Amino acid sequence: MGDISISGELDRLKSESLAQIASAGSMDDVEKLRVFLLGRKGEITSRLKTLSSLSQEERPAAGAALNAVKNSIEEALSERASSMKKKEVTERLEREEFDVTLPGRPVGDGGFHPIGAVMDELIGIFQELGFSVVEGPEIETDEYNFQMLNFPDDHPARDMQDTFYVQNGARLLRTHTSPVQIHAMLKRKPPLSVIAPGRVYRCDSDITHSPVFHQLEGFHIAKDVNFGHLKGILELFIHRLYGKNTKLRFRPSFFPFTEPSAEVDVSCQICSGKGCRVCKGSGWLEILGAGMIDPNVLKAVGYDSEKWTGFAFGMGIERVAMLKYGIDDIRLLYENDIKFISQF
Amino acid sequence: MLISYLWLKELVDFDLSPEELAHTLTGLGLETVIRDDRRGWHKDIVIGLVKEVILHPNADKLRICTVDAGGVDKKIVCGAPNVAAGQFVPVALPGTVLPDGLKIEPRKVRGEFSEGMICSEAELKLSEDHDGIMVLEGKLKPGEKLADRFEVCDVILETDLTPNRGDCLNMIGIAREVSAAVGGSLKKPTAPITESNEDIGKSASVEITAPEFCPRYTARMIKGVKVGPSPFWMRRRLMALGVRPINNIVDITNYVLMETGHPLHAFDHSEIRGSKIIVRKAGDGERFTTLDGKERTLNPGNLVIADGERAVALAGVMGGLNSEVKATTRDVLLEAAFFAPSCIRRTAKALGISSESSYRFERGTDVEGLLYASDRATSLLQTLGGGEVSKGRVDVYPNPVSKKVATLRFARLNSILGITVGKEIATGILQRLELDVKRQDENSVTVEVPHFRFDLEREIDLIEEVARHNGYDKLITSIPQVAAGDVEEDVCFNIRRVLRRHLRAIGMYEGVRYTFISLPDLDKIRLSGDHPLRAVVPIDNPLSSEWTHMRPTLIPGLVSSAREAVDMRFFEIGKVFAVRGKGEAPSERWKLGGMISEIVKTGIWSGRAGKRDFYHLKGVVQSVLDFLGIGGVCALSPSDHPFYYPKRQSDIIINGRAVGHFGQIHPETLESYSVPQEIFVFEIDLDGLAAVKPAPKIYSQLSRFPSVKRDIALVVDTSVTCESLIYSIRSHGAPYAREVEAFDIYRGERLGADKKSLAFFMEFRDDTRTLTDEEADRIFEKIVVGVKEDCGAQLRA
Ligand SMILES: [Zn+2]
Repeated sequence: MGDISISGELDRLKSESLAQIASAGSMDDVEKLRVFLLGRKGEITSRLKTLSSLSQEERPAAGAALNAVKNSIEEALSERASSMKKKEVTERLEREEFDVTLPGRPVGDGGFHPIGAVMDELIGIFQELGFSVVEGPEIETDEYNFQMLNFPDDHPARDMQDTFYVQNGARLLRTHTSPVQIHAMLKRKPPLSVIAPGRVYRCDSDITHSPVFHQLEGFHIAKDVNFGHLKGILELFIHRLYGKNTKLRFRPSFFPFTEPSAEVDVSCQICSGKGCRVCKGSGWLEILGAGMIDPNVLKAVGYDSEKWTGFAFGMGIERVAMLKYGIDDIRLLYENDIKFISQF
Repeated sequence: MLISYLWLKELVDFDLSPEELAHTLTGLGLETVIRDDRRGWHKDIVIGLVKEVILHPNADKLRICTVDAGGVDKKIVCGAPNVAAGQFVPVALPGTVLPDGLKIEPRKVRGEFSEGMICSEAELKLSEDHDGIMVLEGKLKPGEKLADRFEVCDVILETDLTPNRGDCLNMIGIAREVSAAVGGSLKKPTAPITESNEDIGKSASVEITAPEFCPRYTARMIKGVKVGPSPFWMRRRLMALGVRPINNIVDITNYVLMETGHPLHAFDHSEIRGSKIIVRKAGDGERFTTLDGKERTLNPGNLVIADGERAVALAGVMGGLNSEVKATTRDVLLEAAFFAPSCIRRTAKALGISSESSYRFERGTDVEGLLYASDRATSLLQTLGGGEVSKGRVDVYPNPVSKKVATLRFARLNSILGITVGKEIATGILQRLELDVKRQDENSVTVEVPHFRFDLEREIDLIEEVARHNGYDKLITSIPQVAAGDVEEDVCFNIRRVLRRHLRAIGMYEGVRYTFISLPDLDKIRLSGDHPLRAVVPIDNPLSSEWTHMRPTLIPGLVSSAREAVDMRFFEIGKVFAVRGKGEAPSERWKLGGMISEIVKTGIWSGRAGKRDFYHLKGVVQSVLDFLGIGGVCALSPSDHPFYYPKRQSDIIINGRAVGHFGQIHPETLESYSVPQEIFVFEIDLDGLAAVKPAPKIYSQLSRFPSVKRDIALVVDTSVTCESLIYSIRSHGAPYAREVEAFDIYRGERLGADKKSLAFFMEFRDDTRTLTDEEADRIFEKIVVGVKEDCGAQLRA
C-alpha cells in the first residue's frame, strides 16, 4: 500500500464516519456507531491491526494519521452524544403532561381569629408609635371601673355601660379597658404612653352587641400635651391601618373620663366616603372615642393636672374587625365554627 | 330626643335646611339624623269648605258632599259620620298622592261619582285617628294649601344625646344650641296669665319634709277647666315628638315638658284631701298605685307627694292613679318642682320605671326655669282649657340654689386645645350659651353658669364649650413626642403573642369563646362535688341561663366547639377565674387551651390519611413547650382529670408543679356535649409558664466520627412504657447510645394478648474514634441483656 492510497483511504474513512455520526438520530445510534467504529472489531481497530503489515519506515506516519482520524471520530461521537442527550431530555420534558392546577399539599394551614388578627395589627402599630402594652384584671371594682374614671354614683353616665356584677355587687366585670389607665397611672410616674388591649363585658346582646367583646385603650400623659397631639396620633394610626387617603372627622362627644371628648369617624373604606350600606349612606364610620384626660381622673391618681396633661382613646376591636372583613353578625365571632374561622 | 323642624323654626331664627341642621347639631356634639322626612306628604292637599251634605241614595253610611275647593264645587262621596255643612276640611283632589302612596282618582262609589276625598287625620298620617274626617279650625279660605296654613310638611330629626346634656332634652334647649351656633335669636314663647282675685292660698298649701330630695316645690291653681281634646296644632306637635295626646290638660303638661324640658304634674284638685301637699319620704313598705295601674312598694329612699292622708304621686317619676286628671276634673293643681337627680334615679331604677319625667329629673332640671314652665302651662290651660287662674303661686324654696361660677384662663384654653382662640371668640361663645360674664381681664373670664347647665362647673367644662362651638376641625394636628417611659412589658403578654404565631404555623386555628359558663357545664366535664374547679365566680345578673358563671377552665368552651364530625384544630388563649378568700378579688389566670379532632380532613391528596390520636395531641403540646424553650425542663406525670379517659392523659410538670395537662376527652363528656367524634384537648397555665426560665441553649460539638445505626424491636408486656424502655436502652448503651427513638408499635395475636412490640432506632457513637461493627454488635448485645433484665423485654423474632 502506497502513501497516497493509505492517506486517501483514511480521508474517506474519516469523512464517511463523520457523516454517519452527524446523521445519528439518537443516543442509541451514537452508541452503535461507537461500537462499529471504535469497538474491538470496529473499523479503526481493524485498520490499526493492518499497521503491523507496513514497513518500519511507513509505520509511524501511517500510525499518526490513523490516530488523528481516531481522535476526530471520538470527538465527534462524544459531541454528538451530548447533543443527542440534551435533545432527548428536552423532548421528554416537552412531551410530558402535568397538571399544575391540582391543589398544593397543605403545610400547617392554621389561621388567626379576626379579633386576634385585628388586635395584633393594632397593637403592632401603636408599639411602633412608641406605646407600651399594659394589661389589667377583667374583674374590677366599682372604684376603678367607674368612680376614679369620673363616673359619679347615681349618674346617668353609668347607663352608657350596662354592667355585669359579681359576688353580690362587690365587684363587676369591667365594662371598658379604661380602668387599666388607673392601674397604670397609679403604678408609674408620668410621662406615660400606654396601650391596654383586653376583654370587656356589657350586659347587652344582639346582632351588633355581644356581652363579651374586646377593646384597645390608649393614653399618653406628658407636659404640654394638647388636643392637636391627640388628632396627630390618631391620624398616624388610622393612616397606617387604612392607608394615607383615609380621612378623619372629630365630633364633640361625651365620656366621663375625658374632656373635651370626641367621637372619631373615618371615611368609609368600602365606598371611599361616597355612601353605602355599611356606612348607612353617610360615608363615615364611627371607629374611636377619644379626648383629653379629665382633670378629675388625673386628680384621682394623684397627678397634678396643671403640670401634666394627656389624651386617651379607645376602640372596639370587634367593630374594626367586622368592618374590615364585612362581618354582619357579631355572634359569629364567638362560636368557633371552623367554617367561619378558616376564612381568615 | 325627637325634634320637629317646623316647631324649632318658631323658637329660633335660622336659615338651615333640615340636612344642614342635622350636620350643624352633630358638629356641636348633638348627634342628629333625619328620622322622618314629611316634606312631600301634604303639598297637594287643599282646604275645602263643605257646602252641602246629602245622603247617598244607595248606601246608608255614605254621604255625598258638595265641597268648595277654591272656586270650584266638587262632589265627594264621604263615609265619615262627622261630616257637616260649614266645615273646613282637608281635601285630596284627583291626582293627589297621599302620604301612604295612594293616588286619588275620580271614581264611582256605589253608583255616584266622587271627585276626590275628604281626609281623616290618619289618612294624612297626622295621627292614628280614623274616627272621622279632620275638621280644620281657624279663619280659612277654600282652595288654600293645607301646608300653607297648618304645620304639616314637617321633618322630624332625632338627636342622640349624651347623658351630660339633659338641658337639650327639649325644643328650647336645642334652639339655644342652634342660636349659639348660627347667631339667630332665641324666641321663647310668652306666658301671659290673667289671674283671678282668689288667692291660691285658699286652695292649696305645700310643706316639704325632705328638702334634701326636694329643694323646691311650686304650685299653681287653675279652676274650672273644661277637659277635652287639644287643638290640632298641639296634638300634631306632641305626636311629632312621639307623645300620644290624651286630653288638653295632660297634653299641655306634656307639651310644656317637650318645649321647656321641665316635667310638670297636674293633679285633680278634688282628690287632694285637705288641699294640702306634703312632700315627704315614703314609709318603709308603703304601698302606692301609680297611674299605670301597678301597685308599688316603696321605702324611705323614695320621695312621694302626699296630701293630708295618702300619697298622690311618686315624685318626679309617675303620678298616682288616685289623683290623675279625668274627664270630670274641674280644678287643676299644677306642680312644678325640682327633685334631686340621684333620688329620682334611684327610685326609677329600683322600681323599673323610666318616664319622660324621671329621665329628665335624673339628668338635672332647671331649679329657676321651672317658674317659666309653670307659667307657660298655666297660660295654655287658661287659653285652651278655659280655666280661671288663682292669684299667685305656692313656692316653697327654703334654700335657694346659687349659680355656679367658673373661670376660664385663656392660656389654659390654648394649651389644652393647642391653638390660639381669640379672647373675644371664647367669651362670645360662652355668652351665646347664656353664661353671664361676671369678670373679665386680659388673662381670664369668669362666668356664672345658668341652672339648666348641670354639666358646667369647672374650667375644663368651659374649655369644652369653646372647643365645641369653635369647631373641632379648627384644632391643628401635630405629632407628640411619644416615649414609652419605664413601662416594662409583661412576660406573659409576650409569650401569648409569640405562641399565637407558633400555633398558627403548626396548623391550629385561633378560637374565641365567651368567658361565661353555667353550672351544668361543670357536670358535663364530670367534676366531682368538691373539685377545686368548682370554685366558680357567679355573675349576679346573667343575661342567660347558659352564662351564669365565669369559666374556671377553657375545657367546656373547647369541647363544645366540636359540634361536627369534621377536622378541627383550635387553640384559645384567655383568662380563667376562680373564687379566692372572702373579700379577696377572684383569681385571674391566662390559659392556653387547644383541641384537635380525631377526624382529619379526608382525601389522599392532602397527603394525610387515617385519624389523629393521643400522640398527635402530645406532639402539639411538645411543640409548644419546645417552642418556648422549656421542653427540656418539663416532665410528664400521671394525672386523674375527670374530663379525660382515665389512662389517656397526663400532667405537665415544671419544677415539681403542674402547669398543664392534656388528654383524650372522656366519652361521657363527649356525649354530654353531643360531640360526634373523639377529641383531644390540652390546657396550659401561661402565667405559670411565664415564671419559668427557659433552659439556656448550649451548643454541643458535632462529632467528627461517623455513628453506627441499628434498629431494635422488643416484645414486652403491654404495661411496660416506651419511656422506661428508652431509659433502659440508654443506660445499658451508655456512653455510645446517643439517639434512641421509638418508631413503631405493634400488637397482634402472634405476640399474645398482653404483649406489644416496640421498635426503636438507635445511633451509637464515640466522639474520639470510629466504632467498628464488632464494637457496635457488643453494645447491641449489652442492651438486649439489659432490657430483658429491666423490663422483661425479648428481642422480637
Ligand atoms: Zn360606605
